[in-house]
Amino acid sequence: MIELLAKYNYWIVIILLTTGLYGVMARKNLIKKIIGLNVFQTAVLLFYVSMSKIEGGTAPILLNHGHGPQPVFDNPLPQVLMLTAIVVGISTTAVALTFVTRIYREYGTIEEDQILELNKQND
Amino acid sequence: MTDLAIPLFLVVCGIAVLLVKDLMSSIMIFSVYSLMMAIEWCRLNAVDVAITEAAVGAGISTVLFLVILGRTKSVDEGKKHINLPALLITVAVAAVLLYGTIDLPHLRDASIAPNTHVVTPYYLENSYEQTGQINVVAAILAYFRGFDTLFETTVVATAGFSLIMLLRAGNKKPGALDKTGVTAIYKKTPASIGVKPTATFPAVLDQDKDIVKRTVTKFLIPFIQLFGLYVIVHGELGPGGGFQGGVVLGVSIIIYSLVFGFEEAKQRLSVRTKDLLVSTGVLVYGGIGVIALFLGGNYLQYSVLLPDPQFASIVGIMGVEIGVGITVAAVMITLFYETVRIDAND
Repeated sequence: MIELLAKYNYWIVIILLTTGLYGVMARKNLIKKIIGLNVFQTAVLLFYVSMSKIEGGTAPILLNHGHGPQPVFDNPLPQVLMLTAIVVGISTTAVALTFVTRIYREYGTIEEDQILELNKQND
Repeated sequence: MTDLAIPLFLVVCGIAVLLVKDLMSSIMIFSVYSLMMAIEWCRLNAVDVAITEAAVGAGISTVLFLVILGRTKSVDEGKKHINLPALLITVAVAAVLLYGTIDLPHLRDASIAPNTHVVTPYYLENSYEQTGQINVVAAILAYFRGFDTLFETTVVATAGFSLIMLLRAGNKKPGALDKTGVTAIYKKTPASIGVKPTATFPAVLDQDKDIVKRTVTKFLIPFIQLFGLYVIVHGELGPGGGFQGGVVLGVSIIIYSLVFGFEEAKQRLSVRTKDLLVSTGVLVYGGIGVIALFLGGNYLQYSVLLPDPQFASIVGIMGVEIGVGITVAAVMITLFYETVRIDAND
């Protein structure tokens, strides 16, 4: 079990990452592309947080105000970095979605190939 | 067993999100994906991350996607054929990454570099002595890496501002000169390539008349807000902090405007107040740094704020967390307020 878990989350991260990547490249719908980007993002977050887990560790909250013997703690640093990354991620996703609505207002569609065709017609 | 099952379920959701044709279902599956992700964070003992993911991923981002969907189209019209070049690139990337995992250290091992490198043991040992924080995550966030967090908060605020500028400047008829001085000449004719116009949602979110929803919401909101405030100020003792509490507070206002309508929500929290709050939070954070400068310390050196250095750190970190909470809550409300105001029929 431990042997399997040693690299299991890496494989999950890779599958999620490439799923997101394929979504961004292959899907023509702009909203689908942004969802793909979000899947990609969460894969990166999972990679970092998986690194922070230690066998037998607990959440990094000190016992007895840091005095006396302490249990094994998971690594708090990746958790801090990913915590802020989630909030920044939703903010930037919102900006991307705003661009989608502006595009829809101009073109009347959010399909990439149709937008390109309309651009060609206008030239 | 759940260690294996939950990540596997994540993969199933991740693939399903991109395969489903109906965008509404796609967003709903993505919401489930985020919820499972929050459970996975809990299992990895990243409790602070879990609170944020549950509020942001499963809550705000779902609402945001749905609002945007209401302003655009709900069906992915793209053909479902396999894009061969994209598939080849994807497989190549996957192969390279898989090859890379051979050299990566085993997970869950206490002796691997990320866990034994100088900083992590230092943070764990000095968290209480230097900062008075029992939650090491909060100590790193606001003290050891305070500059990092200051600029993260600024990034969040900047995203809020760019959203405001993008959407408010655009509420003009085509052909009119917008604020950037560019005429909207690129008004295309989708009908010429066979795009059918779709039914648009009402421009402004209307009130929900359902008495069950209204009563339950009225009853729940005080508790959600109390929880949000608790999470912000409780960051020193347990899981919590400005980012986590801020998103929970933001959610409470979003729920209110979803049920009682945008007009009613504006009465409670006006657009102008919310705009001011976005920058107030960053100002509070940066201001505490400047006060420390005037008291003879370094920028964001909390220990000079009061005579007792450890108590001063607790107060300083609390102030910083409140600043972060204000900005994050205001930006989350901005995301919602600004997107529901888009005039779909323009």
